Amino acid sequence: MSAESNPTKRPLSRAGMIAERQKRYPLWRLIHLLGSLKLALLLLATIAIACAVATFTESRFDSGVARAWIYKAPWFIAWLGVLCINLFAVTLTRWPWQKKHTGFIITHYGIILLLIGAVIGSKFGYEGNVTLRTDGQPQRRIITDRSCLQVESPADSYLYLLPLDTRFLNVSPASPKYLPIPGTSLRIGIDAVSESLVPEPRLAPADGNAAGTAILIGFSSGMMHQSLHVGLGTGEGAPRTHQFFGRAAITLAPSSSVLPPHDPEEKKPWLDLLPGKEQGTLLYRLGRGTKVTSSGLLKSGEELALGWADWRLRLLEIAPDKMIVSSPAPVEKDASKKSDGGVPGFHAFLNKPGGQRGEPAWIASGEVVPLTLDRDLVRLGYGLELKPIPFSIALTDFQVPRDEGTETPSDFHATVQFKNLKTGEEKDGEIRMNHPASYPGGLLANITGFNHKFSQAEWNPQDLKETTLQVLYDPGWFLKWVGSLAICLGIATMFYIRPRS
Amino acid sequence: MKRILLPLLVALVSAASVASLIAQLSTSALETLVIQEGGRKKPYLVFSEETLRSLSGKTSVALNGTSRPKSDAMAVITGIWMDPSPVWRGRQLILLSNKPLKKQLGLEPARKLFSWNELVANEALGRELLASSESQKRDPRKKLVGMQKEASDVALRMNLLENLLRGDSFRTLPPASGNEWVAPTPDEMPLVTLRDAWNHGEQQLFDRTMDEFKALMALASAAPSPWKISLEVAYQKSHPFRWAWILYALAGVILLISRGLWDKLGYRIAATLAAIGFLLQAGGLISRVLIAGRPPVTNMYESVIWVAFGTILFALIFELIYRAGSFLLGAVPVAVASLILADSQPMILDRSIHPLTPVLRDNFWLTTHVLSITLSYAAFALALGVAHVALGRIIAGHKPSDTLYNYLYKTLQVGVLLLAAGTILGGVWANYSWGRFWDWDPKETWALTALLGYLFLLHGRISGLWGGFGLAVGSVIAFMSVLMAWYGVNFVLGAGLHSYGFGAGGFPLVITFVAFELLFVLVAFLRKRRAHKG
Repeated sequence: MSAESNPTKRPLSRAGMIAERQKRYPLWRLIHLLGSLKLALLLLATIAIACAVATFTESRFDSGVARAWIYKAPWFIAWLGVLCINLFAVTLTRWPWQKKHTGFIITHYGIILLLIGAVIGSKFGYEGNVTLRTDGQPQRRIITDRSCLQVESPADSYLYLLPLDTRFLNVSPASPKYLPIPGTSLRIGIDAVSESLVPEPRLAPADGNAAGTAILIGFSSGMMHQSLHVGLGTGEGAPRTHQFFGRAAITLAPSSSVLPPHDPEEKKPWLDLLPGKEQGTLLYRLGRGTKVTSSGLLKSGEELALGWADWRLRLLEIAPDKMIVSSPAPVEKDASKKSDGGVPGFHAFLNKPGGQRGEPAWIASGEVVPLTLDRDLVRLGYGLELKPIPFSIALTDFQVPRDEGTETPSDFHATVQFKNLKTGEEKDGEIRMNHPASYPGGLLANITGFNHKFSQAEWNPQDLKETTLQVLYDPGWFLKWVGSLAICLGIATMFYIRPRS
Repeated sequence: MKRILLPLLVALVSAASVASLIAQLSTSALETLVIQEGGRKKPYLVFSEETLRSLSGKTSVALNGTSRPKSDAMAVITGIWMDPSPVWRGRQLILLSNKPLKKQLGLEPARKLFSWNELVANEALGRELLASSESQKRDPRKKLVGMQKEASDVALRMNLLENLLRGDSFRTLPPASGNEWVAPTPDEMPLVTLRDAWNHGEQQLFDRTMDEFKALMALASAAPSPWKISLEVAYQKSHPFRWAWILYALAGVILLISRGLWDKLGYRIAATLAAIGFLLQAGGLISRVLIAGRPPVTNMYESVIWVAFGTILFALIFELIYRAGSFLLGAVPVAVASLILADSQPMILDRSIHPLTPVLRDNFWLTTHVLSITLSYAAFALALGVAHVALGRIIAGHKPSDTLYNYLYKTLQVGVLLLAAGTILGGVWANYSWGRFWDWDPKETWALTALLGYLFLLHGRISGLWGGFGLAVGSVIAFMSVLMAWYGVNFVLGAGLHSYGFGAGGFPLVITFVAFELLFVLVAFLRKRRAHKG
C-alpha cells in the first residue's frame, strides 16, 4: 500500500488528522476499532475455517446438519453481521476519501450489498419446487424447502402454520417441547421424534363389509438385517396383495375355492395364502409361473422358510372378521437401512396447563392426524410447507432430447403456461437447462427479482409426462447482482487502475 | 480325454492365428473410419484406444501374457472385430488392479490383466456381483462403493469384451432414420470382404475395401466433416501436451544451470523453449475445443491441462513485463508435474472427450465461470511456484529480494481477482441453472474458503503483520485450499451438486504432495530462523 504522507512535514497531515480525531472523539475510536484490520483477519480466518468444517460435516452427515450447525446457525449469521460492520467501519476510517480509495470502497460496499441482498432473499423470498404433468391440473402452490406444522385450531377452525423441523428438535419423554395452539389454552406436546416412520399394520375390530378374514404376517431376513410386518384382509378396502420389494407377489384369497390366477410368463415367485378350514390356520402355496413349488398349513405363531434368499415368514395373527388399520411407527435406524423409505415425524399429545394429557400419537410427515383431549379435537399435519403463488402454472409439453445413439439426456424442454388468477391473462413459457422461464417476466421483474423463476430440476425417466421445476422468488436479487458487480469491478480497480497524481 | 483335447487344440490353432494376423496386416486404413460411440461420432483410432483403455487400462497390451512385442489398440480392437473367435476370451485383456478384490477372488496379486475365461470361472466374483446387483436393485440411486464397485467395474469390462466379440460396438453405418448408428452384420458387404481379406492376409484388398467403404459413408448426411475427423486423428497421434512438458522441462533446466554463468543467453533460450511448448499446448487445447465444440475445462483431466497452460501463460505475461526469470522458474515445475500427471494416470484422469451433462451445455457460462475459476487456480499455482523459488533461495542460504516478494504479491492479486469473479459468476450461473444464487454447495463453499484464505494472506501483508517470507509461506499453505476446492470436493468429499466432476483415485498422491509441501515450508522456516540467529 502506498505510504501515507509524512506527518512531520505539515502539522496536520492526513495521517496526523486521522490519529488526532481518534484521540479526541470516542466515536472515531470506536469506528477505528470496528474497522480494524485485526478484526478483519479474525473474521476472514474464522469464516474460512467454519466453512471448511461445514463441508466435512456435510460429507460425514448430511447437508441439513451442516446448515443447522453452521451455515444457518444464529452465531454464523451474527458473525456475518459483524463482518458487514467491519467492512463498513473500515471505509469510514479512510474518510475523507481520496481517488485512490475508489476500488477499495466499491469492493467493500459491494460485499455489504451482496450480504444485504442475501438477507432480503432469505427473509422475503422463497425456494421450492413444483411437479407438473402434461396430463395434470395447473398448479397454484409450490412445495417449499421449509418443514412446518399445520394446526387446525378448535377455537376458530383456522389453519395455523408453525415452522418446525423435527431433525433439530431435541426432546425426550422427560422434557417435551410445548407449542401453544392459538386462540385456546391447549398446547401440543412433542416428546419424541423419528427420522423414519413407517406404517405399521394391525388388526382392528370391524363390522359390515369392512370385516373379513384378516392376517398379520411378519417377514425377517438375517442376511438383509431386515424385518417387516404386512397386513392383508379380504374385507372391503383391505389390501389383498402385497408386492414384496417388487420381487414377489403375496396374495390373500377369500377362500380356498378361489385360487388367485397366475401368468405362466411371469418370472417372479408368488405366495398364495388361503384361510384354512380350521379357525386360526392358513393354507399357503409357494410357486413361480403356473407351477406350485410347495404348499402346506400354517398355524398362528408358526414360521415358514420362503426360499427367497433367507427370508422367513411368521403368521402373527389371524382373525375371521377384522380389518387392517395402519398407523405410523418408528423403525430403528442404522446405516444399512437408510433407504427403507420411512418418513420423518414426531410423537405428540394434547395438553392443558393443568397437566391433563390426551392420547398420544405418531404424526408422520404428509399425514393429517387428529389429537383429542376431553371434548377438544385438534387436527395436526406435518410436512413441507405449501406456498400459494399468485398465478397458476401448467405443463403443456415436455421433451427430453438424447445424445446421439444413447439414452443419455442432452437437454430438457418444458413448455408451460402461466395464468394470472385475477385477470385470467395467459402467458407461455419455455424452460430448458440453463434457460429458466419467469413470471411475470420482463426486464424490470428480472432485474429486481420480484419474479418467480422456474428452472428444470428433476425428471422421471419412467414417465416423460412429468417434470419437476425448481421455483425461486428472490427479491434480494438486485442487491446481490449489484454487489457482485461492485466486488469484481472494485478489486480490478484496486489492483490495476492507479489514479493519476 | 477327447473332451480335454478338443478345446486345447482349438485354443492352440486360434492362438497361432491371432498372433500371426495381428502382425501381418496394417490397420492404418481404419484410422479415419467414423464410428458412433458414447454419444458422439469419432475416428476409429480414438475409439480403439479408448476402448482398449476401458478394457485393459492402457492403449497397448502383450497378447501372450508377458511376452513382447505389445500390440497396440488398433491391432487388438481390429483383431477382435475381424476375427471374433472365442480365443479372445482366453487372452489376458481385462483389467483388475484392486489388490483387496484380487485377494478375495484368489487371483494372482502381481497380475493386473486377466482373461474373460478366468474371471467367468471365478465363483467368488460371481457372488460379489450378485451382492452388488442386489444392492443396486434395492436402491438404484445408491452408488456402489469399495469391493462391490470394483467388481461391477470388472463385470462392465467383461461385458465390453462380449459386445466387441458380438460386433455390436462397431457402429459404423448411419441409419435410414433416427440418429442411432448400427454395426454391420457379419453377412453384410463391407464386413464380409474385410474379414475375408484379414483372414487371408490380403493387405491391398483390405485397404481398398476400407477406403471404398469410408468414401461411401462420407456421403451420408449424418457424417461429420472430414476435417474434424482428421484433426482428431492428428491430435490423438501427436501428443501435444507431452511435447509441451518436455520443452518446459528443458526450459527450466537451462534457466537453472545458466544462473550466474550466462544469464542473458540462458534466459533467452529458456523463454523461447517455453514459448514453443506453450504454442504446442495451445494447439492441443484448440484442437480439443474444435473437436468437442466447447471450452476445454469439463473434467479433471482437462482442468489439470488447463491449469498447467494458465500457469505458463501468466508466467510468460509477467516475464514479458518484468523479464525476471523467477516467474518461469516457478511455473515450470508446476506445469511439468501437472502435465506428467495428466499423461500418466489415464484411469484417474480420463482424457476421452464425452458429451456433457445437460447443465454444463452452455458455452457462455462454461467459458466465463469455469475458465476464470481454473485460471485463478493457475495464478495460485504460479504463486506456489514463485513462493518455492523464494523459499528455495532461503533454504540454499540466500536472502530473496524484495522484488521477488513483490512479484509474488502481484501473482496472488491475479488469482484473487479471478477467483472472486469466477465464484460470483458461478452464483449467477447457478441462479439460472439450479434456480438459486448461493446455497453452500461444497464446491461453492470451498471456492469461498480458498478466497477467504488468500484475502487473509493479502490483508495480513498490507497491515504489516507479516512480510515477504510470510507471504511465501502463506502462498504454499493457501494452495492446499485450492487443492481442496479443485480435487478434494470432487474426489474426497464427493458431495453436492457439482457431481458431474466426481471421480476417484489419486488420494495417496495428493496427500504425499501436501505432506511434502508442509515439510518444505518447515525446512525453510527452520533455515530462516537459524540464519536470523546467525
